[in-house]
Amino acid sequence: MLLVAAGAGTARVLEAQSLPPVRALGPVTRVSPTDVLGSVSSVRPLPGGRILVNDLVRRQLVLLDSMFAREAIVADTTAATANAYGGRAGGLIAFRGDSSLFIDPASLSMLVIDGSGKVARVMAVPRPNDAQFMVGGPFGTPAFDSKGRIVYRGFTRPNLPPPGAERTGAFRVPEQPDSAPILRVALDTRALDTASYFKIPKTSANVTQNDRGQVSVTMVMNPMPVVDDWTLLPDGTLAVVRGADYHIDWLSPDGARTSTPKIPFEWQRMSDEAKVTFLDSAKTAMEANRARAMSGGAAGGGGVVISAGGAAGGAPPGGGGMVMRFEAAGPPTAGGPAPAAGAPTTMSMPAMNMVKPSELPDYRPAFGAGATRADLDGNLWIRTSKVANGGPVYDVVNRSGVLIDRVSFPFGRVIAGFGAGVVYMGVRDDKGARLEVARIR
Amino acid sequence: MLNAMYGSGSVTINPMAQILRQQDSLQLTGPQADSIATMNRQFLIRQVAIWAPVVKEFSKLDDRYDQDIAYNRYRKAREASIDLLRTMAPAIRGLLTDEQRRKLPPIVASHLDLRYLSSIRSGTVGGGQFGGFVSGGMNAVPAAGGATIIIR
Repeated sequence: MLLVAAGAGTARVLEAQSLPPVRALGPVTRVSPTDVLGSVSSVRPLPGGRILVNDLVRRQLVLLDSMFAREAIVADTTAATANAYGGRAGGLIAFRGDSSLFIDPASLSMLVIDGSGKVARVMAVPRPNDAQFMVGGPFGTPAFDSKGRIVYRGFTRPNLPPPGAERTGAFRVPEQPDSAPILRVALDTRALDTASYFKIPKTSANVTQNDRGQVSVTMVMNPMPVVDDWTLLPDGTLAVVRGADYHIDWLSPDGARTSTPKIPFEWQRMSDEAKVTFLDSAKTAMEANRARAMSGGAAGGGGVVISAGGAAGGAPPGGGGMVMRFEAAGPPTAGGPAPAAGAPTTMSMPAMNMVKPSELPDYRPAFGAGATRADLDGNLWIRTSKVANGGPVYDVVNRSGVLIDRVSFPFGRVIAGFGAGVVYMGVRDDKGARLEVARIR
Repeated sequence: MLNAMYGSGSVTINPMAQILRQQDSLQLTGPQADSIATMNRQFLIRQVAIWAPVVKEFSKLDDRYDQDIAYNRYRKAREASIDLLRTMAPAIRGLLTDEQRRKLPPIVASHLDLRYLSSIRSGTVGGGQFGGFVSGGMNAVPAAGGATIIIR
């Protein structure tokens, strides 16, 4: 017992010795006006200090000059111009040289934007069914690699129930996958390959059906999942950060796979009491969000109420609200009668349950989904679960897997991109959305 | 929802999107795919311009709206959409080889056929994502026994 305790103490000392001190990010040197942007999703630095900003809220691609004043709108919300943004959220990734690709999943096309912010030509999305995954956001940070391929998170189909189960008539929610592929598609040959797999958050669903045919769906989520994350370095190396033990697997452009040792981290032990407290807080926050969404639908204020049941349906609970009724009955036989009407059932937004405390990890994960970005020097910036002065602390890890720096960011800032020696941050608060640039040191 | 039905979903199927989604089986070359994507983008932009004012108008209707006026607005927008597709169809067909045209699914091929497009121009045939216009409550029923979406 003493040996174990002594060993653990030694390990803690070694770990503490290898942790660089947390330092503050360099000074913010420029801030965009509050009326220029609705959000900052991603940025693309251009020659001459200009910045291309993907604004998902206003559905605009905005070109800012070197002083962050709006110079032009490259793609706009309105459909009145040929440079319309598109009906859905688009993605912005760096392309060859100083050009950029704007991916429009609605039209299955990609705009090639040159270094001056002009649309040079239109290309087809190479994998149309994957277009939405090339946008980024919740699907990671797609990028264009040194071999002319778009690297992006792919889609894994849910595990469907076996064919026999469908014939029983019992409705089962397909089991969601717990991992996703990282795919690479070549723009010239359209060839696709899988570079790696990584762990993603998983939400389970329990479905019960009573003797009146009423369906109840309960979602079960883990608010503290242990996940992996990935990003592409400027030289085309794929880095997959593993959440279980906080190490990095590297896939070089030449195909060589390597792993670097665990990154030192101040792991925070989650006691049983801490797990219960965390779940309570998470559930309270989740229920508040759910109640807000439900009240919008019930009041008929244009919200959406989803109901499931027989063909007879039911009156909408809110006048003027939008009602979507999904009938579970199968297709009638040819020339046969329509399915018999059943008792209408209102299935409001599914109740969200949390996993049991015992299913939470014993140590708070070092990072969450979408935490990793790469700077122009090929270093990884990993937003950790550690907080300093109210803001996130980023671990900076070099290509050798060595933790070289720990940087605390101001509250409410997220990395939108990197320039030479600078980091671009998006911030949205009561003053509005802004783009800030700060020196890394 | 109205925007999904008419604005981007269109009232007919979009043959260019279907061709792009089947670019592997059709063995489209890069220039072919890029050209069709360019036309598809142009088509969708103009579709939105056609339908956006109609959708805005429909969204303000109450339960006792004048069905004739609403249907007339729908029909004019639908005709404009089909006319747009008719102007583009020859160019789309011209981009494809004979072999590729033979591989097209019948529903896609028919939406590149000028006579077929003329026949559905002023009707309510719904080949699109949500089907066509059904007066008397703005219901859209794509297929019997399938999912039913009721908009009130």
